[in-house]
Amino acid sequence: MTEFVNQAGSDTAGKNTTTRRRVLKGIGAAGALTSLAGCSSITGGGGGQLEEREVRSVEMLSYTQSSQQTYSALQAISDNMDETLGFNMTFTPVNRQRQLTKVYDERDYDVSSLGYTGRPHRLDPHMLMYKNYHSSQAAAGSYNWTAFQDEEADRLLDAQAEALDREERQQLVKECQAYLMDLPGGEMPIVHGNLINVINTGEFTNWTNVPGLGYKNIWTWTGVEPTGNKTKLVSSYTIEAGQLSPLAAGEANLITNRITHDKLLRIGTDGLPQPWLAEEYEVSNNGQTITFTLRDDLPQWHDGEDMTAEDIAFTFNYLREWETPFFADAVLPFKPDGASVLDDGRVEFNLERPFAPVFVLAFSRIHILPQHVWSRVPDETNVEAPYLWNPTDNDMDLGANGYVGSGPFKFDHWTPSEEIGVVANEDHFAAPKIDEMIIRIITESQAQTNALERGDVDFLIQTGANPDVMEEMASNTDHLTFDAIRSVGYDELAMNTRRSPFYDAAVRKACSSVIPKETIATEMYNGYAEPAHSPTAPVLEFWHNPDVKKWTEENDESAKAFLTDAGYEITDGTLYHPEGEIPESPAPSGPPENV
Amino acid sequence: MSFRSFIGRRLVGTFLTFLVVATIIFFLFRQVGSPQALFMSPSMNAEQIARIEAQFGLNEPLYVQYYKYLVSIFTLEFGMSFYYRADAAPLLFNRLKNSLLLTVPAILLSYVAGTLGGVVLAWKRGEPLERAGLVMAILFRSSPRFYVGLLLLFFLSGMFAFFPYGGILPAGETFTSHLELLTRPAFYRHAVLPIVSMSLYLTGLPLMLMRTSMLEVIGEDFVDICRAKGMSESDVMYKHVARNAILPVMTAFAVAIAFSFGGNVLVETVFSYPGVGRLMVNSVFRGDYPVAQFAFLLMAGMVLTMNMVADILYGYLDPRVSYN
Repeated sequence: MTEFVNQAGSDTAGKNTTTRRRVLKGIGAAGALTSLAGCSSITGGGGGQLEEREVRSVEMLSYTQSSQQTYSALQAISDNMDETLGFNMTFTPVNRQRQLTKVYDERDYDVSSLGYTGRPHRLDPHMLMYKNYHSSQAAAGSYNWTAFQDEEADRLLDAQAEALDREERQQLVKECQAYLMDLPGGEMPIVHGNLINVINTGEFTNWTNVPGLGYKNIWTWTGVEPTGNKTKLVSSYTIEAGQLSPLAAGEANLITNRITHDKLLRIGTDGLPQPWLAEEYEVSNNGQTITFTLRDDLPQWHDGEDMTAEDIAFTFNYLREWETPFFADAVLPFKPDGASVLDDGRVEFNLERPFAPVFVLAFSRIHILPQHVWSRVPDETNVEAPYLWNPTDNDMDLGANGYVGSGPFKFDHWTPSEEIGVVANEDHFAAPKIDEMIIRIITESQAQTNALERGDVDFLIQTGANPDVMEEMASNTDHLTFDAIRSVGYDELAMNTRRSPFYDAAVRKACSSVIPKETIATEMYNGYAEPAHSPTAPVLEFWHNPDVKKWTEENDESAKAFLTDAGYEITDGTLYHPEGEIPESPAPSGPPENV
Repeated sequence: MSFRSFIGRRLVGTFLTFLVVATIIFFLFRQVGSPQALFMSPSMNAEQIARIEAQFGLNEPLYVQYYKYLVSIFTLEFGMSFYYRADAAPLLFNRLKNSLLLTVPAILLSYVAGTLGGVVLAWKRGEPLERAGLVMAILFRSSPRFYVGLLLLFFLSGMFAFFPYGGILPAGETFTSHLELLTRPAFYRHAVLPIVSMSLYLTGLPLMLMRTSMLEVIGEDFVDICRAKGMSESDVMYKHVARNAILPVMTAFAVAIAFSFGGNVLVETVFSYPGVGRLMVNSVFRGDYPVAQFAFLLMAGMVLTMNMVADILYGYLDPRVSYN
């Protein structure tokens, strides 16, 4: 693992430390500790107390080896923490579900990484900053899984959320990034990965790329045009949908929900909300009342009923009332029953407080639901809450008609594990130019390659295949085009700030300094990634702050200096707490009591 | 002991074993996963978590859950899948039918070919044909099944484009019932490669079993008598030796049929086939235990039943087998 040391270079001293540490491990802990206790007085430690101050063993909860890139990235970081900073690391790969439970649901871990994928609502800087660093999100089951809490960070994060003026908010968002990265918070971004897309440009034109999200977006689905007779577009995805509820969080069902349902606004190619069902909106002076003017040609529901302003108000009030988990952060800022119909063409929303991200988080994200179907859920069903109801497998005698949307595509069929099929809604104001779209589940990279080459698949949305192989295949095939799009999401090093010693910013500084971001991007991701220096990705040009503290500028020595300056000792490759500090043991877990 | 009391004892034993397996499955799966993890959503409050638990019947004490689970083995009401939010039983049976359409033909094919091939190998002992046959059998038996599948996919689907890349039907086509599916020529094109890659692996076992078993029988006196009667060598081999040597193959066949109810996760993954093997493995990873425990129970039940059937068949096929 020596090739993974910090790219800033490791000097001879660093290597000696490593060697000595290995020797110590070899001769056994008991003997080593005695000899360390002996020499600690020379290094200015606390007399015979040194071994009591040893930093406890730290566990890196990793992906399994099948997630090769993240696995080796975390292994490199773990090795560097062990060899350069003197941590006593254990490296534990666990399956994804177990990792989610431990990190997300229970907060029972020391260091780990879950990673953030690119999703449309993550184009608003709020999602990957407020959610990950604000103390209100520190409780188990929220995105601040490092349980990071800092008053100044809260103040800045709240301020950007309430700033309705875009320029003012831009400044605050940049300030947030600078503050969080300088501290640093519990979470240190590692790399922004790439989305690998292969598209059939021979038989279809007018593909649209949304920076940070790739070709999988509404503008592609409605805009893509056949060049010849082929009007059925087949896309390939690896994760099968469990159900098609428009209220569920899975990316696999959302691909379908986003095109079969409409929203008030849609995220445009510039990452900003564009008119969709709404033509324009007006915000009151106090920022708490937003009035939408709807377009005249509201689409019909797919079962033939007319969509009205009532449906729109109903959707928001309904989701607010049930605090629908997936949309909770989007609807909780609304007042209960805060949406009301002013007249046929206007809907008014009342908020508890000004909330700038509401346009992306709520209005561009929430699928408008047909009141005549969903008002019967859950009363007339066998489920306890709307978000447990599966419209395609319902018990309301609706048949397949239970899945009622209004979007540019109509739901047609779903063969679980095999494919989802949607057909064009020709009456829609944004009627697609293709007749039919299939989302096919292809689990094997070789099969994806075959299918793309033969024109059986026209759009590779996502793949586990080596990007180099896909790129070569596409360049050898006339009708295919390869594109690697920088994601708005990122992989992060999550340091549990409820646990010793990561509550200490000095420790987080040192750990952040030994993340070999460049090596990870170039070697482990084969260049299909770039080092991440901020939770707000560079693709979000308007919001990204390039002038934040870059921890890659540090080297092994300065990393150690963060620790020694704070009173820590690194003796013979082992890390000791500062004098007078009582290391917590066992380490606390779970959410902080005050949230 | 009479044949009847033998069957009685085997039935009771099988049932008790099944109960033990069922209990182990119940407690094992409650160690992994919860439905909440599938709601990866922020700010869930206690009331919502309680609602989700109530939906999936997890709000009751463990012994009540266990009791309901034991009852559900007979009523087939295994509750709602966490991931699919649909009843586990129809979900599983549907995938099972998909899988059986591959595994049953593959097993029949390989056991017929393997048994007949085994006779030939024993017959031609020491000749180049036997050596070639052995090498092939061991080659396919010891190479990972997904690898054979990948090679087939690469050459026959990719390079020469004889067969589709995977799935049960071409993109955009649906089927209403499995009977209807059998009338669709497209399905057979999709089924060929998965069946071939399973068969190549499966053939090795009956082939080797039959050969070894034949070699034991071939030296017995009655074979010489048959030959002395002037019977043709192929009549001796197929009508007399093979009949006496087929018992171990029957057992293996019964167990193979039982395991076919678990589908074949590797082949299903390589060929993107919506089978029960993928469902089972994914359900374990997702912590979706209403589905996983049902799938494992079904497998366990089938293996136990088929073992019992094989035992009983033994007595029928070979009168020398006694029940003491």
